[in-house]
Amino acid sequence: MPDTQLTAPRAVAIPRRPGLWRQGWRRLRRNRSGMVGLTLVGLLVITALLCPVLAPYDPNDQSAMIDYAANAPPNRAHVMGTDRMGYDVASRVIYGAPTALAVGVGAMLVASLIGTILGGLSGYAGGIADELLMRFTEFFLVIPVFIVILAMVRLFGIIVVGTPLENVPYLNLGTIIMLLGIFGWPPIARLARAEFLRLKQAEFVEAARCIGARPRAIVFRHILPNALPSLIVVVALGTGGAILAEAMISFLGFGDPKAVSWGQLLYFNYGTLRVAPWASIAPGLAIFLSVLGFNLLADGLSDAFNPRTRR
Amino acid sequence: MSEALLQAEDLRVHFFTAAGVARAVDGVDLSVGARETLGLVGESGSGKTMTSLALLRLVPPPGRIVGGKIRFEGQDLLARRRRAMQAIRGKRIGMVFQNPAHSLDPLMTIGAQLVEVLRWHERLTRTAAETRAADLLALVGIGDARVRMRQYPHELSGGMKQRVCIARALLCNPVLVLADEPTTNLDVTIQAQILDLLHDLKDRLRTSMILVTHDMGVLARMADRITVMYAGRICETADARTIFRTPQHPYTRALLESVPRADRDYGPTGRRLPAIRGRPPDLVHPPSGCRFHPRCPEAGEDCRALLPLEFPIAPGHTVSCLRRGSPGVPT
Amino acid sequence: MIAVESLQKHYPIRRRGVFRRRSTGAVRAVDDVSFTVASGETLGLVGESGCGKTTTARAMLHLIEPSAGRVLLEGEDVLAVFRRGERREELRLRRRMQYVFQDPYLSLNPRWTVAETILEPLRVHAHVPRAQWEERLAHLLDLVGLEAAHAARYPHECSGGQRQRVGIARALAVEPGFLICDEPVSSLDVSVRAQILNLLVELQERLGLTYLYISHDLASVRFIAGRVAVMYLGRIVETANVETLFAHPRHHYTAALLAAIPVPDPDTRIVRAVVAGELPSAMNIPPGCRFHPRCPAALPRCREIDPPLELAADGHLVACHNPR
Repeated sequence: MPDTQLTAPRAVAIPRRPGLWRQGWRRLRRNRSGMVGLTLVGLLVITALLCPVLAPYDPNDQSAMIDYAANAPPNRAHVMGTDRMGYDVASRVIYGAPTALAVGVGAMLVASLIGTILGGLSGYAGGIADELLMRFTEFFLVIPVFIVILAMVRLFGIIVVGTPLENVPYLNLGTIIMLLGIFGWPPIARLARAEFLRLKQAEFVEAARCIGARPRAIVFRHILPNALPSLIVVVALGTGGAILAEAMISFLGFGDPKAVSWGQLLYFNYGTLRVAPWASIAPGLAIFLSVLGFNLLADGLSDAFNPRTRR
Repeated sequence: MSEALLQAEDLRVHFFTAAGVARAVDGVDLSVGARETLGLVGESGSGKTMTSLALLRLVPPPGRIVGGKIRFEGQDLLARRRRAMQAIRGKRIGMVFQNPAHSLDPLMTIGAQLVEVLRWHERLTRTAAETRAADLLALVGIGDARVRMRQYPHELSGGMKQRVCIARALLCNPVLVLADEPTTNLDVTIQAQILDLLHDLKDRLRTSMILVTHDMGVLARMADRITVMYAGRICETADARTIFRTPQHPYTRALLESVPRADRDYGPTGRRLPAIRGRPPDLVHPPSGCRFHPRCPEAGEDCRALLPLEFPIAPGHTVSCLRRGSPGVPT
Repeated sequence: MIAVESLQKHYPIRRRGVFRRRSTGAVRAVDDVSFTVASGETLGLVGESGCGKTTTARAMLHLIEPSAGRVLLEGEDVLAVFRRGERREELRLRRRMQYVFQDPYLSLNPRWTVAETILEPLRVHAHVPRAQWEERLAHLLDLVGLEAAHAARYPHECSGGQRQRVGIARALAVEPGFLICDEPVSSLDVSVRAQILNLLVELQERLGLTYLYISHDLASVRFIAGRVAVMYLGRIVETANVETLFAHPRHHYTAALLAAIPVPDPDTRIVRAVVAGELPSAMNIPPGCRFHPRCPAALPRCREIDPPLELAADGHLVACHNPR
C-alpha cells in the first residue's frame, strides 16, 4: 500500500512497453466469433502461402479433357471435381487464395495509407483544410465506384496495347488492386478524421501540449497509437470488401485472364451450373468463407480493443 | 415504530464479468417507513446505486439479483413476474436519476414525455394528462408550464431538467421516490434550490424517499435515517443525528472526518485532513473478513478472518463492526 | 510571483453562410480578469460551471489563445514569449509552470505506461541526461506516494487516486515553481480526496510550490487556499484571504455561494437558497452588474453600471455597488 513504504528504491527501471497488444490478444482469444474469423483468415493465409504444395494439380492443367473427364463430379482423382475446361477445381480454388489475399491486402494498404493521411490531416488541421478534404472525400463517395473501376480497367487494358507495359505480368490484377485502393479510402478517411478530431481534444493531448511537446510528436506518439485500434478494425472489414469487389469485377469478365481468381472461376463456370455445379459452388464457398472470416475478425478485434467494457 | 413501507432482506446483486463475479450488493437489509427519508451513502463500489436499482429490478446485465426479498406494500417484489413491476415503476415508486440530461429523451418535448407516463399508468385523456403535467411542473417551480411543455430538453438548463425529472417521478402520486445522486451534477446554487424543492415536496406530498448520495452535506439536510454502505455491505444504520454526532463504525467516522468542510477553520500551516488510507475495494476479490479492515485504523486480527454482522447497539442503531460488539462469521 | 492582467477570452459566434461567416456577438468566457498569486501561496479560484475559471487557467498557459491581456511570471510576459514561437524559450517557460488536470481517467494516454507518461516531460525537454532518468522516475514516484511497481502499469490498471498521483508526478517532472491545479479531486472518490489534498499540501511545503487551485467545491478551497478569488460569468467579483471571505463575504454572490453549500451537520440552521433564478447564458450577459438579475440587494445603478473590482478593506477586493 502506498503509505507503508519503508525505503524507496534509488532507481526504477523504465519498463519496456509489454502488454497492451498482449492484453488485446487475450481478449480476442475469449471472443468466439473473433477466433472463428481469425481461423478462417489464417486458413486463407496458409493456403495462399503454400498453394504449390497443397494443390494436387497445376491450375492450368487441362489433362482431364483428354480422358473425357471434364465436368466430372468430385471423385478420387479430383477431390472437388473438374470444370468444363478440364481444370481441377480444387487446384484452381487453392491457387485463387494468393490472388484474393493480394487483392485484399494490397488494396487495403493503398487505401489505408491514403485514407489515414488525408483523414488525419483533415481532422487534426481543421478549418479550411478540413472543409476541402471533406468535399474531396464526398466526391469520391458519390462516384459510382464499381462502374468507374470497370471502365478504367477496360480502358487501361486498351491503352497499354502496343506499349512495353503490356508485358508486365499480372498488370490487369495490379490495376484492379490500385483502383480498389484508390476508391476504397473514403471510409477510412472518415474514420481517421473522426478519431483525430476526438483525440485532438482529449485531455492527455492537452497535457502533452502543456508539457511542450511538438505537434508532430503529439500526432505520432499520442494520437496515432490511440486511433490505430479503430483503424485496424475498419481495415479488416475493408479487406473482406476488397476481396468481394474483385470477385465481382472478375465475375463480370473484367478480371485478369492470367490470374487465377475465384470470381473468374465463377465467370467461367456459371454457365454450366446445372451440369457441373461443384465448379461454381467451390469458388463461391471460398469467397464466402474468406469475406466472412474478415468480417468476424473485425468484429472480434473491435471487442478486443475496447478496454472500457470491463468496468 | 411505523410499519415499514419497503423492506429489503439479505439483498444480493452479483455482476458476472469476464474478470470474475463482482459481489456488488452482498447481503443488504434496509427498510423505509412511511413519510421517511432514508439516506444511502457510500462511495463508488459501495453498492448503493445497485441497491436502489435492485429495488426496482432495473439491474443491468451482466448484473443479476441473486438473492433476497423485497417487501413492498405487502408483496415480495422479487417473486412477482416482470410485467407486474411495470405497474409499480413510475406509479407506486418514482425514480429520479443522476444525470437529468441523460434521463430525458432528447427527441421528445417535455410535455410529450410527461403525458406519456400519465397515459400509460393512469389512462387519462390527453387533455387531462396535459393539465396534470402542467400542474406538476408548476409544483416543482417551473413557471410558464405550458410553454415549457412544448420545449425540448436541450432548451432547458440543468436545474430545470432536474425539476422536470422530479415532476415526472411524482406524476402518479407514488408512495416512494428513489433519488440517485439527484444533485451531484448541478451547480452549488442550483443544488441548493433543488434540495429546498425536494424538502418541500417531501413535506407536502407525504412521500417516502430513498436518497442515494456520496455527499454528507446533502444527507444532513434531507435524511431522517442514514445507512452507510461499503463494498456491498452495510456498515451502520441509524437516524441522521446519531450518524453525524456519534458515529460508531470506523468507516463512518473516517468518512465524516476526511471530508473538508466549508464551516471549519483550517490553520495556515501544518494542516492535514485525516485521510482514509488505501483505496476502494475490488469487488471481485474483496478483502477477507471485514471488507474495510485493510483501511481501518482499529482493525484487529479477528477482522481479517470474520465477517461482521449487523448488530443493534441501541434502539434503531445497528453497526457491523467486531470492535463494537457485532458477532462475526468466518469467511 | 504570477500576475494576470485584464485577461480576456471572447469566442465570436458566427453565423454560417455558404462562404462567408458573419460575426453576431461573442461568448465572453473570460472578461477582464486580473489577479496575482504571491510566491509560495495558494490562490483558490472558485465559481460555478461556465464562470470561466478553466478558460482562464488554460489561457494562462497558452493552451488557449487569449483575446487580450497579459500574464507575468516573475515579471516576464509569458504570452509574448509563447507567441514569438521560439522553441527554446517556450520550453524554458513550460519548465516553470505546469498544469494538473481534472480528470485522471482522461488526462493520461491510455496506451502509455505510467513510467512513459511521467518521463515524457524529460523526453521533450531533454534537459536531463538519459542516464539519470531512472533515478528521476524513482524520485518522482516516491514524491507522490506511488510504489515502484506502479511504473509498469497502464492507466486502466490503476485506481483514480493513483492516476491523479501520476498526473501530479508528470507535472512535477520538470520541477516547476508554479502549478495550476484544475479541480484535481472532483473526479475522485470521497475517501481518496483527502489523500490527494494532503499530498498537494505536503508537496507545497516540501518543494515551495505556488498553486492556483481551481474548484467549485468551496470546502476543499477553504482547506487548501490562502486567498480566494470568486468568479461569476467571466469576471472576478471578489478577492480576499480565505478566512475573511468565509467569515464576511462582501459580494452577494459569494454570500449565496457560501450559504448554498450543504454542511454535514443536521443541526445547522438551514438558510434557504438566497439566489433565485438560473445562471444566464454567457452569450447574453446582463448589462451593468452581471449578477443584478439574481441579486437580492440590487440597486437601480446595478442595472446600468458594471462595478469595477475595488479595494473594500485590507487586501479585500469587491466588485459591487452595494456590498454587504
